[in-house]
Amino acid sequence: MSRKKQGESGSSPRTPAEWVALALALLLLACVVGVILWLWAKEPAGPPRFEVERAAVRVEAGLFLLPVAVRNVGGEAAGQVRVEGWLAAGAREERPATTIEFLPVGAREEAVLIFRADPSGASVEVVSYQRP
Amino acid sequence: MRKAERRSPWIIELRHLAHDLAGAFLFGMPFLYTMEVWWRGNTVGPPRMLAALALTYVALVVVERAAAGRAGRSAPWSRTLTEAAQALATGLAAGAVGLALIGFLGPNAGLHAVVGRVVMEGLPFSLGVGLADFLLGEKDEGGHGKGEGGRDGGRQAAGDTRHRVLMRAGGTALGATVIALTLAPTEEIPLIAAGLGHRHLLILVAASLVISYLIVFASNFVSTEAREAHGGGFDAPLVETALAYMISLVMAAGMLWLYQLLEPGASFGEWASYVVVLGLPASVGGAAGRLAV
Repeated sequence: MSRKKQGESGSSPRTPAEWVALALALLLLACVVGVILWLWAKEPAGPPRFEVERAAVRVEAGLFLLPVAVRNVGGEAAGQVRVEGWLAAGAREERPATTIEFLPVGAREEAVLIFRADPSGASVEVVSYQRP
Repeated sequence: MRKAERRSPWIIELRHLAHDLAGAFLFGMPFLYTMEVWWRGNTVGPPRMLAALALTYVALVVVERAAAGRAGRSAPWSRTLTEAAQALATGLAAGAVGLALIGFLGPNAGLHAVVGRVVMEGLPFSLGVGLADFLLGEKDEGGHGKGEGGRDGGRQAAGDTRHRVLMRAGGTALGATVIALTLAPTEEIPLIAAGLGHRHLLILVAASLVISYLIVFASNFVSTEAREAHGGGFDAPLVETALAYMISLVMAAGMLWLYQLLEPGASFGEWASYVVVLGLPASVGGAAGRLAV
């Protein structure tokens, strides 16, 4: 109500330590807000889109293990992302599949598809997803 | 000699930071173990993140203003505004540390999800800082008359060590149980435990010890000096922290068994990871329980 008296606790001038603490806090907040603004400006718009990378095939106990990584390069998160491999080896057809629970924007998840024959010629793609 | 040490503005500022961090973890811990909170961070868009930060800031300004009024301090508005900004920054940092501790801040999640999770989790942690300022304002050095009689009366009742140890052990067990009881039957415990390796579990153990030490001994929630003055046995801060952590782990293990998340036949690795994961909130609860006795 009345004017505050100088020198009262709380209104005394800041010490260097307080200035440093305040500067660090403001710097941190500026970084967080800056990153959010950058995301806002730079992020792709539109539905989820997927990039599938394949790594080298490993052979274990007569089975072919194909590690794959899926990245969401779209503008929305996706759930239940189903990744399916497809390989026609002679008369036989193989369709190993896995489901990634949740893939936020920009996230990358790794999975392994297991084939009975060499999957060098196999195709791997995302066949379905849910909007969270 | 104590006076001279306390006067250093850097020490005062560090104490202030410890107080704020303690408040953040004390109030934020249940939200850290609620996956829906950071789950929302995965899908929240940038505009909503900014709105969340702005709303939290406004709430913190109100709380800091009220805290100053409650403590009978007259603070200029400029100071309230910067206090609130510091509370928000501390809360965000503490929330990020918490998420990293439980293994949900990995780089694989992508920048968007990382920032979203930190913002969503930072809200309860920041409000924790504000609430700590409001409900558990910092006690001045010396702490005369502020701590509830029993604590300051400790010195006069020197023969009472056993009683005091029992009180604190009981407070720890009770606090740990209250927090662990609400978290033990949730899916978060196996979910978090599944993602953590051995090294990560050790870090979690260290963090549980540091955070509970912060809350009881470095936060100035109650007159810290009075606590430290006891010395000896269970009273030595480091010993008390370690023993209280043991009690918290035992309570956590009991809860996990009670809710059938763990059977006696489960592997040692499973037991260890579940108990350590639940041990973090349990030790924070135990620390809160010790503050109360």
